[in-house]
Amino acid sequence: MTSLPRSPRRLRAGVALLATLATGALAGPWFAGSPTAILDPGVAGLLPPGSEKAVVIRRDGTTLAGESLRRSGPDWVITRAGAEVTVPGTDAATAGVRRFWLGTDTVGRDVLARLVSGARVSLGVGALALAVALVLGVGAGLLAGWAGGLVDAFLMRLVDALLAVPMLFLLLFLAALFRPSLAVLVLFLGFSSWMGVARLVRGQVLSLKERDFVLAARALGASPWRIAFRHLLPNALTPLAQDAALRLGDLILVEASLSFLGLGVQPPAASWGTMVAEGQEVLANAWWLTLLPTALVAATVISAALAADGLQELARNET
Amino acid sequence: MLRWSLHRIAAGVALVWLVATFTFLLVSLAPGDFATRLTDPRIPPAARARWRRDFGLDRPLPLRYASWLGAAVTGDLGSSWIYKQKVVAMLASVLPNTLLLTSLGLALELGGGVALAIVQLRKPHGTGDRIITLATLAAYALPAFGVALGLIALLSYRLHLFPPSHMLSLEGEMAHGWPRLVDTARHLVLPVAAIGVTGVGAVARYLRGSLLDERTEQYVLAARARGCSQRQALVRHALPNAVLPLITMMGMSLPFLVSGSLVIEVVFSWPGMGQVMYNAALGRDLPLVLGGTIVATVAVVVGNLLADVAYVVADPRVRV
Repeated sequence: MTSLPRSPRRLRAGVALLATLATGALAGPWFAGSPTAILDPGVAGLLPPGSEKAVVIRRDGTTLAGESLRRSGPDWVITRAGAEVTVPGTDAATAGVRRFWLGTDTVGRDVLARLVSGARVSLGVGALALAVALVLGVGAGLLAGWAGGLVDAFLMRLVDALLAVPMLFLLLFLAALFRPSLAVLVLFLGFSSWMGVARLVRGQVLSLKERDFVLAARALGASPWRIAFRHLLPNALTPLAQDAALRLGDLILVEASLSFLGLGVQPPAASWGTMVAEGQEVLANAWWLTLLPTALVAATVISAALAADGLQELARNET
Repeated sequence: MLRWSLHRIAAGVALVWLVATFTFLLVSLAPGDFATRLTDPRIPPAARARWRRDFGLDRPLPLRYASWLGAAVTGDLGSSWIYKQKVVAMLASVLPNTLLLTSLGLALELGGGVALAIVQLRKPHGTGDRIITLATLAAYALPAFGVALGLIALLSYRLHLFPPSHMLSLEGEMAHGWPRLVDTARHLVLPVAAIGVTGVGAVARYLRGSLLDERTEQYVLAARARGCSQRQALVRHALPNAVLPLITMMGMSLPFLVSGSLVIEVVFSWPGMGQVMYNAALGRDLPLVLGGTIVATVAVVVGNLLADVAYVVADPRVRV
């Protein structure tokens, strides 16, 4: 453990990309505006990326958008569709020219802001569901591998059975029954994905538990908990991390599919999947509404797959 | 062989029974039954109660389960709440469409994956290999709906090459024989391509990895020494060995194929199982959703059995 081998390039690339996406998602509120603010759809709806519009937000929350803006005394005069509209200075909360780097959607919401808040939902749901799957899978795998016998047989038959269930159908079914909140969605996804982890951990435990260092720990009187968490799991860490990376990608894809179908994340919260569904209606003339969230899902899954590839390489070098 | 088959079939039946029981319990425990769907406020409570009794909804859960299971075993999964038709008949009428779509998609996925991997191994780590590796990684990572919408936007809306949705156009609906077949084929192109693109990445990535390892095995070197070309050694000798785990992998990925085709069917308004299931889920048509989940599970179990049979056929060492 004194010197770690140099991590493979793919691992570093994948982790860096994931970290960038996560940072963007977390730091979103500071650089991107409100994801739900509706900006005068008549003028600011479906703006292509990079457009500029003059925007006045009134104190009552309504907005006006137009081509240009000037001051006249204390008041703001905005040119909206050729006509000049005067907004008294006391009414206006903010006024200025704003650039929509990634355009706006049909009702004039800033796509950049929505992508960033969607990233929080998509990555957050994926990561939490992964955590649920890992806790369940590691627990079941340790139990099956360590206890053996009937417990092992029962748990592994259960795993075999659940792996053969078409999960999207079952999730669709559950979503139809319960209309899930975000927390329930996380639980559903986690419960649908722990089986592979359990199988992996069980295999690792079976091969590790006959080794001398485990025997030594047992001879020293270490408790099963101590053996599990100090001796078995650390040695199974690399394959477990590789599996977790791939699983994160899968979970994000499943969440995106469910939300795309309207049965995952419910409005007004947006995930990348719901954004694509909203953009689907204007697919022919507003490519950015579908392409950008799709690209972000793909980027996340690619970086997870790169990290998994790198971890596999690392595991090969270790042995 | 017989014992093995019986064992596998029994395990499959047990799985279907488990899933059916689990989903039935969920439906029974979920709030609202058929009687609460009669939303007309003029229906007096007494009529609702009588309805419940007529349909046996007031009986205790074990009894309801027993009679439901008894009917299910004889192929009766009840009636759809929305369409007022037999669930089995509805699903049976759309199942062929789904099978057509998924089997063509699977064929494209496998064929494309094998072809790409072989092209990549002509010159491993060369430029072509690198480009295809990147492309297959992207294909693997793209969500199915994204691929589907991209294909529609490009090949249908922009270039007007293929129709964007449904299985038949209006003219095709009227036509018979050859023109009808051509029309269906034109409608098949985009959804099959979408399934193929989403699945080809996993196959190609897997095959490239295992062929790369297989290439330096002694039997491949022996084949080369006997005068096989690099290509022959790869295709005739290494590929059959690399395909074996692929069969297992395809069997295991069947649930994903069934699930993936659901999204594709919804995007392309393809009249299949997935589309029916989706509408049933949106409308909370519980008998239909229940039936669809069971049929999908049966499909996966049968697919897994077929994968096992394919494995036995492909690997002469396996004797069961």
